Amino acid sequence: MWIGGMGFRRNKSNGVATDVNLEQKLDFITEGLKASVFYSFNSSNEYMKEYPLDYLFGYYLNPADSTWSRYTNWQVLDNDTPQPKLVTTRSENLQSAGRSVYYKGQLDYARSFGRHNVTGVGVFSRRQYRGISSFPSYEENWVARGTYNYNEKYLFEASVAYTGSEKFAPGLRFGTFPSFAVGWVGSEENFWKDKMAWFNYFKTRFSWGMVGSDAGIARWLYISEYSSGSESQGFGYPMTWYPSIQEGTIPVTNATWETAVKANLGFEMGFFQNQVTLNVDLYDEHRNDILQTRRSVPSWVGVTSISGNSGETKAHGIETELGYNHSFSRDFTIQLRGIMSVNESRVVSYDEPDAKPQNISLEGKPVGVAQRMGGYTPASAIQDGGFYQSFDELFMWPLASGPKPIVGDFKYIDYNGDGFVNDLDRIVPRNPYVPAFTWGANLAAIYKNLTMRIDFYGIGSTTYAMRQGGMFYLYPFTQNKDNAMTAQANHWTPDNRDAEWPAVHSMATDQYNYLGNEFSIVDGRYTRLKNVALSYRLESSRLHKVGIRQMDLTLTGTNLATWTPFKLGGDPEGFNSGVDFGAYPMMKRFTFEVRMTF
Amino acid sequence: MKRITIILISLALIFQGCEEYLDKVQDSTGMDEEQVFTDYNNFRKFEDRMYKDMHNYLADYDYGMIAAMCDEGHTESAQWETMGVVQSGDWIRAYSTAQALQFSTIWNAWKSIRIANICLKNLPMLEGNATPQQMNQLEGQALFMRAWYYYEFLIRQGGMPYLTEPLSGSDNYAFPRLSFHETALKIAEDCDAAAALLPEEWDMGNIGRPTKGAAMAVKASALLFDASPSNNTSGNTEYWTAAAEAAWDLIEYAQSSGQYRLIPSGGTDQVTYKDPAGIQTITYPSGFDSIFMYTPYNDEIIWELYAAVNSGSQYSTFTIASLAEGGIIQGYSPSQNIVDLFETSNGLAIQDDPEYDPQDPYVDRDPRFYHSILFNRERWTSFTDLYLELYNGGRDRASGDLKHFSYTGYLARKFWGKNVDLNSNTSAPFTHTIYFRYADILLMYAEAANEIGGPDYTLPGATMSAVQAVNKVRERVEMPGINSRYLASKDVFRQRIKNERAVELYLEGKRFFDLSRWGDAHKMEHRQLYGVDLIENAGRPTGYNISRTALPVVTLTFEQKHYKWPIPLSDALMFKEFKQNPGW
Repeated sequence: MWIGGMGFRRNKSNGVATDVNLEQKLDFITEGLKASVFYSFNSSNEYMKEYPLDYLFGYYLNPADSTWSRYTNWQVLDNDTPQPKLVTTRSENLQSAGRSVYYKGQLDYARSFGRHNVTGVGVFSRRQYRGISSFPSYEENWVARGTYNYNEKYLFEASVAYTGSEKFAPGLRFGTFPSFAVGWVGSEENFWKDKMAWFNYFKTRFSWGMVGSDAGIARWLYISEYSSGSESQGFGYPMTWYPSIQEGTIPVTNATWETAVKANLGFEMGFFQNQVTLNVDLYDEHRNDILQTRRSVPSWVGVTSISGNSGETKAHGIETELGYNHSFSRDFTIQLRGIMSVNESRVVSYDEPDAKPQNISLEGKPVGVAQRMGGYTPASAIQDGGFYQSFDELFMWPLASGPKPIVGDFKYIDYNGDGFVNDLDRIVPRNPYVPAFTWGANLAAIYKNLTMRIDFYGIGSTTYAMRQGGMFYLYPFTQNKDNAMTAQANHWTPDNRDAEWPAVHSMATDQYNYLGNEFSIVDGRYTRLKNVALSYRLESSRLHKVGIRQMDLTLTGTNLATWTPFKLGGDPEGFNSGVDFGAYPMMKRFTFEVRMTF
Repeated sequence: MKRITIILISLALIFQGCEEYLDKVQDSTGMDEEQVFTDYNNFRKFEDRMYKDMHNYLADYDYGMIAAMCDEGHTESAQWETMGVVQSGDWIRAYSTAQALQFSTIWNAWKSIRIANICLKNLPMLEGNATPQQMNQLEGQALFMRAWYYYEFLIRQGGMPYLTEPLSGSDNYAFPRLSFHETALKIAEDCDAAAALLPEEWDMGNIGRPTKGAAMAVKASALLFDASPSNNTSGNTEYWTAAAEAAWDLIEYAQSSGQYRLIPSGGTDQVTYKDPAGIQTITYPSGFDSIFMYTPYNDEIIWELYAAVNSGSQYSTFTIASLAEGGIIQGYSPSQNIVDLFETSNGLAIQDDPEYDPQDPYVDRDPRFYHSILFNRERWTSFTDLYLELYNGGRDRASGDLKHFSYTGYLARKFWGKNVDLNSNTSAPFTHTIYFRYADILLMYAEAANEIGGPDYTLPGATMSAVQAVNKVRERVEMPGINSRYLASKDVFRQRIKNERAVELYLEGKRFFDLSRWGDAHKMEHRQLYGVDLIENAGRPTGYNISRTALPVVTLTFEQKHYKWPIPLSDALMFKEFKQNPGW
């Protein structure tokens, strides 16, 4: 076990928060009307001063004999140097600062006319925010919302927002974002109550709205700027070097709000006095005008990059929740709840050139694929077609660049048939990183004073690319680490041609198999028994005498079991950075809790 | 009541000026469009950046690539995988290798075309802030550089979409490529417009900027490429006429204005070499090397990369270790193929001259041979008493692990200043990377005129026939005129013109494109580069048995598809309208 010490830091922060709120009832104009004005000013600063050690040591506990030894930075044993001291001469630095000013004016209206209930809100607000050294950013919002319901049975709501951002060019700064929702509580209808009393609650609701975002957009994209160039050109005798001016980034004069249109249809149902409940939600979302760097910019435009509102994505899914709650007797109750959701999202338009081959085009692929391009955990890989079984095959199959293969290495599939294996042959597997299907279940049983709760959750099939080709898991011999798993004994040899693992190499990186391929894509689906809790409530006269009204004893087990097809270790929930690449593993935990009320 | 008033007033104050609240911009550190284009100096600074994409085909970091891509000579490739990629014909991959500058640097010139287009678009903004002469100069330079870069694309990749306006973020970029002929005509058009605006010569502070003559030269060359067999598949004589007229216009202009002329020889130079009999001397007319070196500018150069004049980088392209500090890539080796093209001093090809002795081949040759190539046992004219040992097994000949020496038994001398080497402590003199010079224009005219009507054809309105133009070039180095046996027909004379171009314009970045436009580049004789075997033999006049190497030093790959360079994959795959060249 290693421990290192580096010193300590002292953070000081101070802040001011002021809120002023003025409210005035305007019932004399019309009943239910109210006006208010709100102003807030917030400012905060954080300073940090560091006190590092004047030299660093690492302390190592030898597990064999439980002795501690001390090593310098360069892993040289050094038990003799005196204890390092703290350096106290560093100065205090401003780490972060922020100041925001916010004010709004609001009109509220709420009134009931018999069974008709009406409310309305109108808000105008402005906000100004500044960070430690940035130019202040400004935002302006106009919002209006009205709701109406009749006897809590027919519901209607509509709102519109008119938001302005200073990032865009004049004339394009404001976006209008309307939305509305309708609902009907069917079970409140008289005919329903008469005919279908067993179906005690039924509500259906539909909402549609448009939302805007300027979050991903850089400021002032519409302004073009020229700067002095570093290059100069020589003319004249004697040679004079003429300096140059160059164009900055190409302005995007028509950048504007990214919009998302969402629609949601929901059904809430209860049966048998809510002993059985069922909720179903269907949603659909389209995002348009996503600002991105245009990807089909050819050389003859003469610039390195241009942005435009050309991205489009869509997503849709269903979520259902089923519940069962029944008391069999006064003492025994069972509660069950299951949640299930199915989702899908994909990129509709990413400004890819038309002629780009289907397998590497990002359009039509799930949203996460674009973000992971070229990263350590990409969402696409080259397919492998088994192992090289003979020397002849080494020359027959198209090769990738890099180290040459040996017999027993992977054969890669030249997907586009151009004779080379390279990035153009990558394909995207199903559901990369985001599963299509997730679910959860909660079970609870209560018998007299004993309660048991069990929670499960899980995800359906999804694929993960192991980080950097799974360097440490799949190719164990590298950097003198020589740490193979027993499963890797089933590797290719001439006697074991149908093996699971390719031929063993001495260096992870210097082998043909290292190219990011299908082998390093694993199925990450899992089911996890998240929680089991058993609790008992003690209520006895003896306790009352001591003054304890009630005592609860609970035994909880967390992360008790995980079922996943991936057997090489690592937590399936931590796959986002590739099989626990440096992540702290998930722990199984048992807790015993005593709670007393006096 | 008072409270209401306060609230209403505060609400009212807040509501003023919706958009102005958001109309705040940080002061920028740079200049905006106004500042750049309404001031003459800033405008010129912006425009001058378009000169950056001119390619220096002699730069030491280009390693003589264009010369090694044809049969002029060999650049060692074992230490430098870029050359190997190019020699093997994988020119698409060449775009992504680090040092294939002929590919990547030139394709990047679209940036400069954009700069030229922005300048032409914004020129009216300068009205009133600059003199008409200044505005003409700016316009002429922009038009010329646009034509120049399109010319560079034309001779390599072929026809391109001819952009005359800068593109913006919301444009559609799917342009179809124009045909070779259409692009050549557009280049000619731009050159004509530029020639009307550019000055005949610049003042001392601006030497090196394109002149009227440069615009006329680019037009002549573009039309000549258009007329050449590779691109003019139907053999349309009108194209040749257009090329001849354009070349003649420039010749006439040069003669009447006195602006350009062939640098005369003016004296004699000597080379000495060792043979079994002792030290021998060859005397030949001097002056040819002064075209390329020693003076900062001269009357023969029409258009060159002036910025490279002082850099002397050309000098290190052709070095070998014993002559100068060098890295591992140097050791450019002229091929036996090109050596055989130099005529004897009688004006006959070596195979036609009975006086030529294959065992004593280096005497009595065309003076340009002595200016351009170093042969075995020649003394390098520097302070070191160094006689080159280019024979098999010699100190300066590549063998085994020794990579930076001659592979063929010859070294290049063109672009080496006299007396410059490692030990002489002199730096390289002014050295010119020339794109067009007057001799080239005369040969262009001769080639076009010959194609129209044979060696004695004179273009209507011209005062020179094809053969007379060639003889002018030969006169300068005191070579006799073309021998009458070569004037029998158009085809025979055409061979001599090709030969003349090979020896006159050797190593000037021309031969590769010439072979390509003549349709000769795929022929075996131009793809296999031979060296010379020099085996010690005291009985021979030179002391060595001279014979062509049995096997070629390198065989270049040149198939039908290589007549047009490929477009880099990322651009070729982008739009259906912009097609890749056939075969790629």
